[in-house]
Amino acid sequence: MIRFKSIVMRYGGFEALKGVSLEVPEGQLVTLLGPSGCGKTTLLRTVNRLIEPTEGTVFIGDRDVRGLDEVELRRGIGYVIQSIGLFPHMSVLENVVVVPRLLGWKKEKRETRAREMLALVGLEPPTFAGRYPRELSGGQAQRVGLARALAADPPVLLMDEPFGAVDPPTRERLQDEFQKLQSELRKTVLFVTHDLDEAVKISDRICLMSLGQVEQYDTPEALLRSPRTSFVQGFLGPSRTLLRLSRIPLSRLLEPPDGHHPSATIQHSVSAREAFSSLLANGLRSLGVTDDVGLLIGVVRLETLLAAASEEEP
Amino acid sequence: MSWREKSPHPLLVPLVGWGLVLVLFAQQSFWQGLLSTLFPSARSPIFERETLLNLALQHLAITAGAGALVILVGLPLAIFVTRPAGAAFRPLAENIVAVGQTFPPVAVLVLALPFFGFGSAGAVMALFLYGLLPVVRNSLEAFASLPSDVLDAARGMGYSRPQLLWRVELPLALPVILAGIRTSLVLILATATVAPLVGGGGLGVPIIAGLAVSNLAFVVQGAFGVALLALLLDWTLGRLELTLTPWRNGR
Amino acid sequence: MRGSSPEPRAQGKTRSASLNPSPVALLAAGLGFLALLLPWLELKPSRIAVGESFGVWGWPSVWPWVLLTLWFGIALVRGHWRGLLLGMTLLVWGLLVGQGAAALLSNQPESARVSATAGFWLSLLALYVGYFAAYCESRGWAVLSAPLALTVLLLLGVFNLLGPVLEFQSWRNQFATELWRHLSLSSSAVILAIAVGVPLGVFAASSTRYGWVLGAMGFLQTIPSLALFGLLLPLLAGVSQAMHLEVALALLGVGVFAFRWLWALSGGLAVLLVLPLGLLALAIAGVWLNNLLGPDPLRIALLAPLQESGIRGIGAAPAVLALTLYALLPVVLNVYTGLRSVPEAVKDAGRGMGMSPAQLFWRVELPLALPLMLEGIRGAALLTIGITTVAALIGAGGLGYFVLRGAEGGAPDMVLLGAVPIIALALLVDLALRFAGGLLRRRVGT
Repeated sequence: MIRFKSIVMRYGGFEALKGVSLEVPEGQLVTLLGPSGCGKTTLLRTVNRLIEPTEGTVFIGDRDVRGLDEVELRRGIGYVIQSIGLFPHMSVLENVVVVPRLLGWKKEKRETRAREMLALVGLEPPTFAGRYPRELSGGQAQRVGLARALAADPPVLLMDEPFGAVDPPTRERLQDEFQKLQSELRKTVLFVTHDLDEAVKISDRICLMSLGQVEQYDTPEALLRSPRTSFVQGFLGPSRTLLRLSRIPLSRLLEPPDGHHPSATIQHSVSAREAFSSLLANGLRSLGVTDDVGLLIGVVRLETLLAAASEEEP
Repeated sequence: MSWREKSPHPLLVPLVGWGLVLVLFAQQSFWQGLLSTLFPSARSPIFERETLLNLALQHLAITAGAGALVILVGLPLAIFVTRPAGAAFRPLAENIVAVGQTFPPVAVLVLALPFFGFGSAGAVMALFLYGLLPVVRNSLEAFASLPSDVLDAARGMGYSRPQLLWRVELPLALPVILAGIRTSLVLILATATVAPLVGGGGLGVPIIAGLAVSNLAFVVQGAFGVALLALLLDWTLGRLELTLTPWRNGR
Repeated sequence: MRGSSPEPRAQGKTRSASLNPSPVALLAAGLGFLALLLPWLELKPSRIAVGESFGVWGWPSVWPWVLLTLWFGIALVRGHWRGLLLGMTLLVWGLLVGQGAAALLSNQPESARVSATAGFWLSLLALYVGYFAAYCESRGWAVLSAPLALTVLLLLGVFNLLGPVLEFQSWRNQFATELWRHLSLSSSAVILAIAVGVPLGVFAASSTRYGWVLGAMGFLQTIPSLALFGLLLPLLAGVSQAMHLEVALALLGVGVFAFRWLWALSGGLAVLLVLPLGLLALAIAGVWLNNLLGPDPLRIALLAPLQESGIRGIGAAPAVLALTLYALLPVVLNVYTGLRSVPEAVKDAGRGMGMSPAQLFWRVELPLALPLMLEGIRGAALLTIGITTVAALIGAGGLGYFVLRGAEGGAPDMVLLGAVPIIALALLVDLALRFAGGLLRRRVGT
């Protein structure tokens, strides 16, 4: 658990953070969302004390981070940044085991761990272990960055726009994989992004910030359903209805097959938003839904999707 | 560290090169014959006060002495002024290095004469002072241009300050530092040719003696030796750079 | 560790107002104190004899105490005051030296000499460091006090009794000649290096196939200057005795045509032909240019060996030739880098607007590469001024003449007479070309 207690950050006369209080529950992924300059990265960096706040306290668990040795503290927190910051003079394997090495793990244990981690993020260890960062693509480098952050199995993970620098298809794939990983690992993650789609897709909770203040802190569903201020409404924009669909699993809207052979099908694991796009793209009123092996298990109708999107508080 | 180059070891060839050159220098009678054919009119075709091998070894000793001092002093100096504790001295160091570079090396060598005295030790000290400049300049530049995202990631992962310096900053700065050391050592070896003016030994001795008595055979003997050593040193250090920073060469 | 974490900048204002001595000024003061402990002047019965050293405390004078106090002040005060105190320190330092020299030389024979030693030079370094500290703090009127003090000292003539100045007075005519020679040797080499290096750089940048040009320049640069002089000596000696001027000129003329013809056949053969001919052309052009610019008369003697026209194995010919070869690397390298760093997009835009390759080169690539090219010329000039010192060893003259005579004769004052002007010359040329580069950069807007 990470807890911010009235964090104020002043640079000269400028207040970058104006008393932010926030709690990131154990095992949840919380995104700090907002336009550039809203203070989200500053807030993130107070956790591992790369920035010391002017006022206020940051707690990890129930311990004030200022009471901990900053080096020890950082070794216990995974840290991923947009530009990744892989060490160019170390091989992929050496990069991954940086923190275990700092913690003084034995060499065999380190290497085993590195191979596990590489496999976990989808890089075959025999191919990638000996490469140097300059020989990796952007997506591969970002995976190594993630493996590096996870290597010492830290309970807390700080991620500063980790997928911001890769192309959109790769970004989406990385998001999917990270989501899957997080559902297994259940780390406490603080995730900075300015990409609304990304935040809605991966977060347990979203903290929308503006000008150094928290505008709204809620689950993605609640945020999209009932924006509390005009800023939030403006930030979410007209597509928030559509975005809500991306939080609804398709299986919830499924109806039993009606006997007709559907002219198009879609996998049951995708979100309602993708089903909606597919309906629009094909000019259809209903879609067949298949399971993992391609068997038809039901249909989804346009009317159901529209109803789900416009649903008010249950 | 894994060597991904094919065997043999990449420094093997330069080492064999040094061996061959020293063996070549040791062939005193061969040189005698060659020079007397080239310069039939010269009274004594070969410098007789000292063998060519000894002169070359003296030259290398002066270079090595000054070079070792340069590295031992220059690198810590650059590290000190790029730490928070020494940051106040950094502009001064940069300024002195920039101004010092415009000083002609020979002038520095002879100007140091009254301070360090006549002889090889004085020459080493003067060459050390001049050789300091490229090493400090390059090291300062190297530490200043480290990628900030890499440093941020390193701090965020919990490197302590000494660990950051030793495991991240130094290895990353190494290519530029090594380039400075290479420039410096080659410069020292070249300037050491003038060392006889301040009483030092080395391959400059036959050149200056030859110029004084108009014996071109002496001059050629020393000049050829120095040129060979300089080229070999430059090449060896280039190979060393490649070997020490394998991460910079793609497959 | 804990204390090093970044503090909020809000406290910055109050901090700068508190008394917090600048470390650089402390260093200056420390050097200044140290210098006061060392001997400052050396009295020698004659210019080459062994002398006796004297420190500042030996003279019955109040100035050392004033100097000590001033150094304390420099360490403690800030801002404009430091600049002002520094000017005063410089003034006191100069007066002290002048007074000391006069005291030592009274009741001494005509041949006696006073030279500066460790304490003098260390004080000079301390003053430089102190001036740097003051200059960094405030660039107002106070920093003018040091140049002002120096001017006053020179007008008062406080250094007139020191060895190098006396040397200068007795060598006045020769000094002017050697300075002129130094300038003509260096500038001929730089002019030739530009004339050859710019086209060579353009050629090297024109295709990745020509990267070997840079490699060859680097190879030349690695050979120590004295060694290159030494290797050129016998070559030029042989050629200058054996070859007549008209033969050389004819060879060069034929070579130009033969080169064009050979280049189409085989690049390697053409380069083999052009190397010796190019060296010959450079040697002839270098000597003539040097004679045109320098104090030695220009001689062109047809129907006689080359040495009658001043191209000899010893003297200006090997000197200018070697200096030119050295100066080539910075010029070629910077032309190459400059042309290569012109953004592809800019060149593309030029081509898209219908510029011919020649127009593209003259109107786009060359102007953009110009600042870097000037940087190369600056490098070449500094290098050449320095190496010309060694040219005196092969009989080409220049300020190195005094350096070498002084070193051989064990007369440090004579060495200074040569070395100080060389350093001043280098600093002056550096400053002038940097200034020109700054102007150019502003015009090009990079």
